[in-house]
Amino acid sequence: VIGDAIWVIAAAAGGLAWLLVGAIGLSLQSKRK
Amino acid sequence: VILGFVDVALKVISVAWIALAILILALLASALERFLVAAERADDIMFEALAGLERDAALRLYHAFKTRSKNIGVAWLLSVVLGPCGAYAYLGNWGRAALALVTLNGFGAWWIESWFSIPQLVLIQKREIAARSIADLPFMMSQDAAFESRMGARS
Repeated sequence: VIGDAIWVIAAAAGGLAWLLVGAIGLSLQSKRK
Repeated sequence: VILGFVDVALKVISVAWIALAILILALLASALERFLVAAERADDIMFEALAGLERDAALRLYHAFKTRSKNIGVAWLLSVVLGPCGAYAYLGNWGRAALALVTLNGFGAWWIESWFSIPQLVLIQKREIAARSIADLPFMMSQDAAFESRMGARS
């Protein structure tokens, strides 16, 4: 039960990483225009 | 003419991405519904077993079940965010986690499949753990009794 916190943090970090990928993609797209 | 074609192609691609995002959201909603039903069923199995027990035995059994079994919500979240790599690592299946990591979550296909199969897998594991905990209950109670008699003898 306590060990689950690590996995929830890992999922949150993964979600933030996906957001970062999306932000980089959007910024690259806007630069191209 | 070429620039106009590129413009149209970009628009088509962005519309395709939006359609894909809507499809993925629909898939996720379906998986979430399935996950909620599965979570309810998993708890029902345990509460049925707990109903006929005395207080100490019920507490022992519920504690054993809770500490051994995995959380369906956490497993589902990991399967959505990190794919089967994260979900199988959480479930302790490090072989499948390594396979998913090497194949980049099965080239995306295994990722989508895991949104539906992971909650079901955790449910099946929960059922097995519930059955095993119920089978182990007499042993756990005898261990508790031995511990208590030893502590009682000491004080």
